[in-house]
Amino acid sequence: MITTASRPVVREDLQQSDLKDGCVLYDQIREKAYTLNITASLIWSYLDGSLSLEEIAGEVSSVSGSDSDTVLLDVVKTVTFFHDNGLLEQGAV
Amino acid sequence: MFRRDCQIHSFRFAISTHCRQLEHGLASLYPALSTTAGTGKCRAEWSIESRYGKKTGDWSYVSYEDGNLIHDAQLIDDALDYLEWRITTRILREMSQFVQIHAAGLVRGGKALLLVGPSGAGKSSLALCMLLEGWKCLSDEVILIDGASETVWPLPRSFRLDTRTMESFPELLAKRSGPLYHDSTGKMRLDPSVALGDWVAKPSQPGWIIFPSYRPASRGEIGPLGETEALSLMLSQAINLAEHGKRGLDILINLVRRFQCFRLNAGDLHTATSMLGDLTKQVHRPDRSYPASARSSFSERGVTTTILGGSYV
Repeated sequence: MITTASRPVVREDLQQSDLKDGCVLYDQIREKAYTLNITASLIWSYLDGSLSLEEIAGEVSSVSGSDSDTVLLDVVKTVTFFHDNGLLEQGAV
Repeated sequence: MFRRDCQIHSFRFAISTHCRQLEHGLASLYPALSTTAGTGKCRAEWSIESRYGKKTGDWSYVSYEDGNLIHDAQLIDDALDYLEWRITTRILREMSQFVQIHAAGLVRGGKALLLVGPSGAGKSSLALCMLLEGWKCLSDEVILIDGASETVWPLPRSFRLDTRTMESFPELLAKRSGPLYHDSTGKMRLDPSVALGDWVAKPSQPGWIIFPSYRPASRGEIGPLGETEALSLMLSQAINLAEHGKRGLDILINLVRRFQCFRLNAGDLHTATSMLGDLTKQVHRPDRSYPASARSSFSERGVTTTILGGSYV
């Protein structure tokens, strides 16, 4: 269950290719590719276990200039997607 | 007996019939792949024959692949449609060394313009219009990408067009001979060879990647597309990425990084063609500014998933 206090960590085996305005992740186990726009890839870059989603939302909010409450909802939604698709280390949320 | 030997790369196949009524239909399937060169053995043979049912009083059209019955249809259109699907599927399987994308490809000045999109996006209509403007064609439906050389190879077959589009090209309709056959979606098959002798392009490097969408009320607009969205759209139209895995993904990543990507909202065909013509004459100056999307709120498109297992339908 992802909450605002969660401190997720991305799976190390995923291969990431950066693009000018986002990135693409490749999961070779499931043979799936995930394209992340610049905001989603910014969130992705914070998922090393050191910050909670609330803190990540604060960081993203300061970069994007968007309302922090709105950003927090979107961060939770995005990270939940990562979690549901098995892109995060199990047990690290 | 009608028989046509066709070849694409090293894959040689034959289509034949003893039925005179079917000759024109078969001849229209892959006119640009026709070959008489060499005496190479065909790796696959397809044929259609007509049968009269004495009990029912109806005709049927029976298709064979390498001598084995594969389909029985009541209508010629259905028989040809099935056969074309079967042959194209086999061609794609034989061409698995290429990354295959649902796209039309047009070439001018040695550079290819790719129109990437699903059925109904306007690929074939735009491709035919551009063909009449002097472009050469790689395909109206599927292109073959050689990752090593970043070259796009042709897979030409007859175009599939809806009735309204067909009416936009009276000059082609006037030159055709024989009936027009419908596919299962109601589109008609048109062989560009009726008006254009040498319409197939040679393998070419891409220059532009366009993602068209047909919007009847639109007056037409074209604008640059970011790498991430372009890749996402490209992945959604990939046919055989599962066979290529990460290498195939890297090929598509390189394409959207190296070549200019645009979204085209096409209303009127001729306006859209003219816009594409103008676009390809412009000198490209890449935009290095921080993308506006970074400042926008999250959207449903924030994360898109692609399972690397497309299929040819």
